[in-house]
Amino acid sequence: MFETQQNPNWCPGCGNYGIWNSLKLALQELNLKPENIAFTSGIGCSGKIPHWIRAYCLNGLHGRALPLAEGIKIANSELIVIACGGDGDGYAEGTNHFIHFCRRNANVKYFVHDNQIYGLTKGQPSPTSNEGFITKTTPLGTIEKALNPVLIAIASGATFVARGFAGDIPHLKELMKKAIKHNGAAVIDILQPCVTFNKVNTYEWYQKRAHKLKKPANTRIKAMRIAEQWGKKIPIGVIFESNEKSYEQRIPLLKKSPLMKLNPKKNIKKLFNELK
Amino acid sequence: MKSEIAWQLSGEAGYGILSSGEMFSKILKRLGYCVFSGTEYPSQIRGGNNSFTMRASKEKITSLADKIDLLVALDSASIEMHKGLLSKGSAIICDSGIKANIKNSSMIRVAFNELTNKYGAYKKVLMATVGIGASCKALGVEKKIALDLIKERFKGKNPEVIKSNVEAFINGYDSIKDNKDFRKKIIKGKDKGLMLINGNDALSIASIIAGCKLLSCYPMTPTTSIMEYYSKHQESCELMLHQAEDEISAINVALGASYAGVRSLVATSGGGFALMNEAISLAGSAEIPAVIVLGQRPAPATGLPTRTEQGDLRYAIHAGHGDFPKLVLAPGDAKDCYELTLEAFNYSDKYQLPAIILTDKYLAVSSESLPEFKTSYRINRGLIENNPKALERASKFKRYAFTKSGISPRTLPGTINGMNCSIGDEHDEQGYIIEEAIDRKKMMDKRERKFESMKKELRGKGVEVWGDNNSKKVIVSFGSTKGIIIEALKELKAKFLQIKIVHPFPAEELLKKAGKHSKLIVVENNQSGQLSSLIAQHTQLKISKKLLKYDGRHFSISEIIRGCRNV
Repeated sequence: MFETQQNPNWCPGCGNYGIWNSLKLALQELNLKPENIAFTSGIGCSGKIPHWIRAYCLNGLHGRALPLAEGIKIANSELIVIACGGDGDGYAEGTNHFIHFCRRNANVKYFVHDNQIYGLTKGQPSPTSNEGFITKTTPLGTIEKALNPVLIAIASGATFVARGFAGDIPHLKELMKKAIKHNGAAVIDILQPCVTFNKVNTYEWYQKRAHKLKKPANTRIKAMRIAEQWGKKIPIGVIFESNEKSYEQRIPLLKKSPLMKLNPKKNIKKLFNELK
Repeated sequence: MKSEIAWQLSGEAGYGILSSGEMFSKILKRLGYCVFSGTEYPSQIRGGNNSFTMRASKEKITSLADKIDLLVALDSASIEMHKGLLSKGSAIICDSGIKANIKNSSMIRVAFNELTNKYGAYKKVLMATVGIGASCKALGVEKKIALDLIKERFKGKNPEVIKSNVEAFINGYDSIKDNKDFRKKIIKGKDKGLMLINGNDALSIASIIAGCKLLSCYPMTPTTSIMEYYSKHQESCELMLHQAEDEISAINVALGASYAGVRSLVATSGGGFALMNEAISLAGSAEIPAVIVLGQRPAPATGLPTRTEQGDLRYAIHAGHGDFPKLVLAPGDAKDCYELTLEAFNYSDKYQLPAIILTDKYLAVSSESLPEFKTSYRINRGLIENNPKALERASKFKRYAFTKSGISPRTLPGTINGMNCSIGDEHDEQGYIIEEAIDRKKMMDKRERKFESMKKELRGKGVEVWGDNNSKKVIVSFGSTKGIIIEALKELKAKFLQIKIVHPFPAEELLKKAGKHSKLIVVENNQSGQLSSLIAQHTQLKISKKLLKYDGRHFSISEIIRGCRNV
């Protein structure tokens, strides 16, 4: 249903395959139609995922997947809109959009492939690289603290915040299904091993630490405490969820019908008369 | 000209100079006058000098006057600032407490302060209303027409607002006794039913007619009033206004919506446009229609945020990295703004490319009295494939199919079997990323063919001829200098070529319309002569003179006349 003629060109063993398979399974199990799904993406290995899923895809600029997605959702709220990003794309280049997307609570799903490194540019540190992380451009280790996207998403007002792991397809697939069904801004930060450039945060490294949460926290403060855990245990699962009106639901105009289907009778004569 | 009057209201920011000025313009318009008005203000919320200048005439006028006949000065600084513009026989309406004596001008004293002390927080704005009352009396305007307008303007507001404005108006009106020194009088005529419309309003209305449903913006002078227009009419015209976190987001939201099938508009100025550049290039590659208003203001950087300039002509033409087709239109007045915005949406959709509407602060906020515009318009959404029978069940639709015209049909999300990949990477017909040299060249050539197709359609529409068609003296300009040059033509014997489409540059048309052996004078509101350089680049025409101005102000009529007279 969602298969394309072309196959992915990610490195063999890349965490992106797990994300790709989870996503296709989630779409299938939700019985979604390819024509009703619009993907957007930015630049990086993550940006290519929608090329290999049979659905609509707008692959834009580095860091700008979210505003494209918000635009599509504003235009046609009947579509399922999924923005695909990476840790460089979304947490460096597009951080501003990420924060405002969360507070806007736009009904867009944001799945971020977070491999804690820049892959496509061949191995520089990313905003989520752990402090002291050694790369080609940081031979003495990174000197900046890692950014915590889950904490930012919760603090910024997103109404569904989760962390998944590319090495656990059944779990990630369920998270994606929940995110897609959620009404409002849904963020999944996905731990994704980069087998070529990140020799520290490997499948084994994540597997050892990934700790499944039973249920989401019921307040933002509690959720933030969970989000802060990053050490021997890294919580995965839905960390925060709340039921609030989405951006699109707060726009009176869009309650009538999707913007693109509106065809108002406009009184242009009145517009001219106002100026007389 | 006896039938003409130039009036100015000036004071600190916070006096409601603009809205009172607009009201006075309306009064004269309803008395059968043609009106042109503009406003100058600094980039601050309180203090500084704000002024509203208006010219009214029984004849058609297309710019402000160079002189002021009646100045309403709400503070002494206003007199200092504008005294150089006062005409012989002019008058200044000011507070009785202001000690000033200006040669050639008579002083009309009004107790502004005393009359408005009781209004507390509303004192300042009501001082402006007193000034309107005094102006009406000085010019011999009947009370009734003004009072009707005050009531109309504040309709639906707190009755106290109407009451105090009426009172302030009457007090201002009655405080002037017969004034023998100031002889200019209004000759009452029939209201011609004209609109008072500025560039921003004109293009807002046009966008609504064109079926635009989304304005995605980050506020920036001088285009912010387009946002205000959309918010004011969002219910009645079913419009959506999205205020984004920055201009990068604003244009990407618009591109997303446009990709999904909704006509969208973006409006900004130079700095915001700079942030949008990468997305303009994306629109070029992904072939997404986009209409972008670039209201120029003096740069570099923040420049003079509330003043005017035409320094972004080349920047608009070259916007976005790489070679890709785009359209840049340069309206010269409110009517052009209206007409070219209507066109911009159709061309942008038809050729699936970004269309930039280049205005400036002077054009954006100057109001002109004009008859209603024609509303006949056919929306052309271009090639959109939505017939399921025509769409095969392929894994991906050929979004970038190679065609003779370069235009490939697009599908909108939601269309069965229309799934495709629209993309900023170089791609094949299906939108898959490619690397091969031959494929790259093929796709570049396909996009270029759209530009060639568009050029053909635009032939003959890029240059408008004004003035004396037989004259060898040829003034060439673009954008908001139009109205000022047309005024100058009343004194100059010259032909004026207004370039309305600046990209693709109408070289052949310009050559033909300029004629052989003509003396070209290029008039531009910028330092480097950007239009002159385009003319030199695209034609063999010899430029006799460049008349340039870049002090953040528009040209005056006399500057054009002086600059062109002895060429």
